[in-house]
Amino acid sequence: MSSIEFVKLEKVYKGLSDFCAVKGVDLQINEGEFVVFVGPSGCGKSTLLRMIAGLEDISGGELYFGDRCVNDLSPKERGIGMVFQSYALYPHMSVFDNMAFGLTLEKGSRETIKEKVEEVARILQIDHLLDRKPKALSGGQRQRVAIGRAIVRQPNVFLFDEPLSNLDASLRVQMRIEITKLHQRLKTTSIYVTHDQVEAMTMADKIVVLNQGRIMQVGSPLQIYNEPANTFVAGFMGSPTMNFIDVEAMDEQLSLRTGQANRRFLMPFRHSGPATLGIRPEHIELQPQADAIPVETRISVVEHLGNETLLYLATDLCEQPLVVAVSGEMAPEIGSELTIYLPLERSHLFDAQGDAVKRQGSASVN
Amino acid sequence: MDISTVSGPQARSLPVNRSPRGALQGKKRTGLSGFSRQRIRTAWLFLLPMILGLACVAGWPLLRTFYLGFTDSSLSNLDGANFIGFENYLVYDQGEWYGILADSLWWRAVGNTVYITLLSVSLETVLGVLVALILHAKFPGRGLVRAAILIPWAIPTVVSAKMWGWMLHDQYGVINDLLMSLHLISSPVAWTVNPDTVLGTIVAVDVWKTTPFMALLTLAALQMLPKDCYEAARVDGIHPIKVFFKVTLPLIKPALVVAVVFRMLDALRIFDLIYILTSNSEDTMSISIYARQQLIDFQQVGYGSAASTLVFLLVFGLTLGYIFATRLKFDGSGDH
Amino acid sequence: MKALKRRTGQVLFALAVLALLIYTIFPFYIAILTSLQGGEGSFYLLQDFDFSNYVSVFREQPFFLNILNSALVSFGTVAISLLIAVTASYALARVHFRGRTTLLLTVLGVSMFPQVAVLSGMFELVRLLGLYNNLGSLVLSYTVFSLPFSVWILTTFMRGIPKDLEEAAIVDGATPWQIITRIFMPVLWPALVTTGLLAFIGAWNEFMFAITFILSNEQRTVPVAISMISGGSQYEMPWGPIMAASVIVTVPLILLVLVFQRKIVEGLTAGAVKG
Ligand SMILES: Nc1ncnc2c1ncn2[C@@H]1O[C@H](COP(=O)(O)OP(=O)(O)OP(=O)(O)O)[C@@H](O)[C@H]1O
Ligand SMILES: [Mg+2]
Repeated sequence: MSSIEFVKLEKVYKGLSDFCAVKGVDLQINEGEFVVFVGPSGCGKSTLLRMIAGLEDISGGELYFGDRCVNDLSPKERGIGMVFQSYALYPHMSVFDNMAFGLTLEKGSRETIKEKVEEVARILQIDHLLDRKPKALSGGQRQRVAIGRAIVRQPNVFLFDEPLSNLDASLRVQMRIEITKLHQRLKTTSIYVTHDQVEAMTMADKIVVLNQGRIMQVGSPLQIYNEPANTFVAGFMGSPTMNFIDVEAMDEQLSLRTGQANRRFLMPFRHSGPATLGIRPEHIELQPQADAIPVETRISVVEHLGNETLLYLATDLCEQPLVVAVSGEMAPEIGSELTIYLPLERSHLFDAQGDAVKRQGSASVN
Repeated sequence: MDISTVSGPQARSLPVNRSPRGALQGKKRTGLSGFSRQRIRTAWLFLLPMILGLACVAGWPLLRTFYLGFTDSSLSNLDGANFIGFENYLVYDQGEWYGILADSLWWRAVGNTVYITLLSVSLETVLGVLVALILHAKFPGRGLVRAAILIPWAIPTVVSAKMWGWMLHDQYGVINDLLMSLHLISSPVAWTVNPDTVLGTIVAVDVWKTTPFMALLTLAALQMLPKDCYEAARVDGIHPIKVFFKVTLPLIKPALVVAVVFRMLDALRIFDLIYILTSNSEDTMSISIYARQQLIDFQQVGYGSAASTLVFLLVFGLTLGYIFATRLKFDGSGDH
Repeated sequence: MKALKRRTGQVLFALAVLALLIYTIFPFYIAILTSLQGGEGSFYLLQDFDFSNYVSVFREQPFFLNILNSALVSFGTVAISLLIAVTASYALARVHFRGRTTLLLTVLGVSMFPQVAVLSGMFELVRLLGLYNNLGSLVLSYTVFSLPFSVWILTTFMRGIPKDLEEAAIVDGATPWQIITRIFMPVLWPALVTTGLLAFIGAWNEFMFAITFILSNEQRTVPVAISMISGGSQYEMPWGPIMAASVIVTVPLILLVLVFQRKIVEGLTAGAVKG
């Protein structure tokens, strides 16, 4: 087990035109933490993970495991265990041999290897499958074997690259819980790449949001959700995504660009100039509220999800429809008018560069 | 400590006690880690036996052949040879031209080789495509037929030459017997001796032996074709023959071109078949036979090596020319 | 009317297949026929089972030894060229280094060498190494000529192995050599069989080096031995024994082809179509 520190890590893919996939990433990962990398496709998550693994050369900066710079170490010397999206089980070996392969290369005694493999197999509930070949296993079982193979060698760091994306939805939930339990049991520093925000929110001690090779924000799941550092994180995390409305801020006051342009609202932020107001669909209210901006809307689309209903509302505030999540029992009519209330103390303000403006005190309607 | 974001300037500066970290920053990195360098070193180690083998047993002999071509060495006197420049190739002496390039037999060999190559490769391409089309259809016992047509390709050329030599025998051969009983010929033909028929005979036997190769490569290409083109064509009611020329042929052309290159290389260096079927007869002499005869039978290593060099240049030149003409791409850069 | 047209088509197709079969098989039929007949003359039907030709093949020359030589040389060639080709193709298919494409093209270029172009140089080398009239000379030359296409085919197959599989092994701490022997060779054994088969057929059938580097009857390989079977004069070729010998060397190849037909085709196409 070890802590990990990134110092200005960079990755340049050399080619006809050089491509910088990771751009100066600084990050500190504590011992025993479960860190999740999320970001849109192609943002460099896998690249970063593979740089930690030692499968991809580091073009610039340093990587430390504990106090040791590991830039020049092989994956084995770094002591990592990795679970691949495609499982990458050795097709010609039995489950037992798959899991024992790393240990046999280390030339351990046969009994210890057998003991270790069987113990891990018990933990993962695959002890009855040890004699099978990978092609005789289901997807979930394969994934367990892949995890088992990574565990047996008791690595310092666990790396997962979208390990669950080949599984069906219910199995995914189940495996997600098991990986979390496993981490609680083993307490090995783990880095987990996914593009599934539910996985990120539920599994992580710490989420790292990446975009275009840069870190957008690092924080606990609730920090990321409640205090997104910029519009990218705010828009990326949360489903359905946050609504953004262009506003004009004047010190502690805010005015809308259209419609009720002359109305001022007192906001819990101090900022001046053009800004973006962000509010999550689940925070928008249908009942009149203190400290809320009332907005006249027309219902354009209704999506019933069962437990909740999403309303897409046309307004004159912004081009995109505003999305509101309401209780599943509601059966609103398309085309009907609806007044919604945007509570300011649950909203976020972003400056013209997209960075979040720090919240202060509470607010009240003017 | 937790770095919440890297966008602010304060996030980038690290605490002072970490100063040794980042010390490498100033050094130029090659972009390759120790591990990658190790891997590349191992790769070269893995390549070493092949490179050494090819260099010593193919490259070096080739260079020696080039060199010996400029000497007057003979089989009995390999070491004490003199450098004689281009005399093996062409020399003017007392009003006469000497050397390979002035040897009418050499030019005859070139003519024969080119004739055999052209005729044989084009015939087997056409036949091969036909056979491939037959094998592409579904019918019971297809696997067995496919295996059967592979057999001529797999057997030694010596064997096929002997078998055909026997069948083409002027007195006891089956071919003459068959043709006579069908009244196609009136008297037995000495297929492998008669100068009028011998080249054609060689081409026929070569085609018999190598058509399977063409057919199988073409078949593989056919099997990789997308099915929807055909369905579209069938729906449009286009005649099958037209479909073949307008759809199939253009699609399998790249594979065909490659197969032709392979076959051309083989045909240009034809040796065994002619050697067995007609021995050293001048009517059928190929360039390989010519060179080997000078080299081994006449023991003129210098002269023979010069001829070998010419064979090499001819084969390489013609092949490269063909590859160039068809704009075939042989890049090995495909990646996993 | 339509049914009739279809029927005719089927009949024509069957005839085409039949013609194809006759075209390929007929020479073998005649060879077997001749080998089993004591007397002369060409008959189309097998009349007696006379194995005297087969007996004479083994009696008149050391044909059993020749077969053994051929087998020895062929297996030796296959073993050595596979060993060299496997490591080389791993490097070519799996490791990024400068000059990789150039190297691959050079290897391909060597496979284009006409044998006669290296004959005199090779002759010198063989004599230098003291391998003249020794089967070693054949193993040496055949290996070099089978190496390029072995490397080429295996490189194609190795590229097809998913990257993750190798990386999993790297993470497990496997060295490149262990990756090749413990992971790639077991996964690629069909490709190895294919490549080995092609190398085997090439070595079993080769003629020019065999007739040039080997002098004595006892050291000869089968193709040369067959070419050397002769009677008193050119007009008294002992066709019976020649055909018997031909049948003997062809049988193992026919068996190989029947058993491994699919693999051979795979190998040929991997080497050519993807080139
Ligand atoms: N070998 C390579 N050569 C050049 N560019 C590459 C290479 N591998 C990845 N890239 C580029 O680097 C960027 C980051 O790739 P990466 O695989 O890390 O994305 P990712 O975040 O894992 O995406 P995904 O969620 O789709 O897996 C991409 O834009 C990709 O095109
Ligand atoms: Mg990825």
